[in-house]
Amino acid sequence: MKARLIHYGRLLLSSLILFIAVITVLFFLLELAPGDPIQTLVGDVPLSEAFRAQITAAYGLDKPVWERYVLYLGNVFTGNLGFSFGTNNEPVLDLILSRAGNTLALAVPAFLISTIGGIILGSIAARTRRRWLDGGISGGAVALFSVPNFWFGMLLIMVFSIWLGWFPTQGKSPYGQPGIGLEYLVLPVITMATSELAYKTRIMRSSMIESLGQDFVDTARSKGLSSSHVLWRHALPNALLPMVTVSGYSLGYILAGSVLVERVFGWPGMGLLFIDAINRQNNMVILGVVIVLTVVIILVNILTDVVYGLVDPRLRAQFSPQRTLPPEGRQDRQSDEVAA
Amino acid sequence: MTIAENQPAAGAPLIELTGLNVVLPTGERSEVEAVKSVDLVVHDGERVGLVGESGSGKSVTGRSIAGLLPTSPRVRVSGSIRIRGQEMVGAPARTWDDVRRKTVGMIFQDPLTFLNPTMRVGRQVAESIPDRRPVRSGAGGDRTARDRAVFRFLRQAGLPDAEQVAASFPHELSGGMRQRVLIAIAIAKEPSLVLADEPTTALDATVQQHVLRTLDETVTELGTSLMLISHDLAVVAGMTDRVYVMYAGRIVEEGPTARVLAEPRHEYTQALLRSVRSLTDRDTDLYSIPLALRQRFAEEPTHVA
Repeated sequence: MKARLIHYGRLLLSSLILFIAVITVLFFLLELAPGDPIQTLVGDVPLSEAFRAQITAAYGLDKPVWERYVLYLGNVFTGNLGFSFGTNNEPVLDLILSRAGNTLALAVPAFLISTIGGIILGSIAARTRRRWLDGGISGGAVALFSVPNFWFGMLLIMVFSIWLGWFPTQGKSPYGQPGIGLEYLVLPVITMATSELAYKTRIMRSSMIESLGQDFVDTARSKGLSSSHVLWRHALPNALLPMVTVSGYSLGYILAGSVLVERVFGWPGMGLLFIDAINRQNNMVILGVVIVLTVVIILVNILTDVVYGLVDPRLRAQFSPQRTLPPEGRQDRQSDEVAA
Repeated sequence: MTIAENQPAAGAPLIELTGLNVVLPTGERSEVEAVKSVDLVVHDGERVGLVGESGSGKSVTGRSIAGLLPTSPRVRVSGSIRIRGQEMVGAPARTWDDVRRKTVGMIFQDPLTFLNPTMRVGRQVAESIPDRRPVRSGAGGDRTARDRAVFRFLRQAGLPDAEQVAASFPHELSGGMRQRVLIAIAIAKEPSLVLADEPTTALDATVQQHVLRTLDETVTELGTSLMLISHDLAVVAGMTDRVYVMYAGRIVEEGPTARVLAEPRHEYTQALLRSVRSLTDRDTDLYSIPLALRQRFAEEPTHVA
């Protein structure tokens, strides 16, 4: 138990350092970036020095950069991500939270579809003796993995929205209606899931081939178990470990990829908010989105670590005291006495 | 499959290999004749040894009896494998599943790699108990009866703390205990033949003796046949009634174990026996079979009964 606490303590500490490092680097990068947020805010009109000074003071931008950095970092830890530069001066956190649900509505299904689909397709490709099936799955995976998702999204819009008219092209619901329409969800989720699915299928295939070559598969076969039982109950649990690693990363890729996908489908999520913020040099919002993504990825990292232990009991054992079983010698002596 | 096919043919031996050839792929374009026209018989209740050095084809012979050759279309088996009179060469996968579920229990060499690291030991043994109820179900059914059977087989394999062992994962057990778990898996189906392929090679000498004794006792208790595959003449000497000696894919000599070890007739057996070293040997160099002799054995198939 103590070893486990130390392990998670270390993990949390390194996550915290990473978190602060991300904020620091991005904060100063944005500070160094060219451009004038205040001019962007006001628009394309001449700006008097007095007015500029007034706005600068209003946002606290007149303070030295170190002071602002320390202030910001302190605020982040109290959950205050600052205020958006804009007419409403909305708190950044509120702005992000109002969009986060929309992004998750795409990312979570994309993640689940790609993970479960990748496990199933990869396993089938690994096991099948029909070469065309393996070739089709593996070849298709390479092709789909190589396709950029924004291009793939536009292709889907062209085929299924414009030519066939099955799905809407843009947005998350009919104009003026709240909530998310299911038919609006289909294409962006497919776009997000496809390359991840392709990648996971390939990883799963090679991992499953390796697992099927292990000796314990022979033991399972020697019991007269059906080949599907051997595949799903014996080979699969042992092939999942690389999949856990890849899935952990993939959530990060999916969230990062959402910036492009949301742009293509006009989906009002965090990605679109992010692009908007970059265009307007709305630095606090840029920082806020990155901070939220960093937190999500760090949490997924920790979760991945926990899932490792669930998938492989040997890793669980590293953090727990060994079960106390009598040593082999003693046990044999016992059975010898019985025999004698 | 019809019921008639399932019945043991009257008077048919448990295992009968006739002119068995096995060709295994070794690379993209190369292959090796691992087993060449092997004739071998195991009768009910008999204990048979199969000895030979590494690469002699003894393990491949053993695996072909359990239908556990690599599943590649490039593996070619010809000749005849009869199990209780039923021809198994070219038999459908289901027939093989049936044989493995009921007739042949296999014990493998390496206790570390032949157990599934992600599954508790109890479940791995339980899977081997044939489900004789009409409805097959994984988790349901009579759990407690099944658990009791698992504990019984683990104890029979020399693991008195059966409950605790059953709840463990393989990595939590010692090498000797894991080998006993493999024995429990093999006997849990109450097979007609226990097929042990180098069952103690991976263990150290003292544990080896204990595990062999357990294997001996279990086979006697269950009244099953035993086929013991080993490179170790001493292991085979104490455990079997009859022995086959293999070299370069062929059987070169067979006969009662005591006779073959005391007065070997084939030159290879004689050479093999000479290369065994005992503790009482003093300052003699370790004998190894000369290359010229090896080539002659491999080229000229001779069979001494």
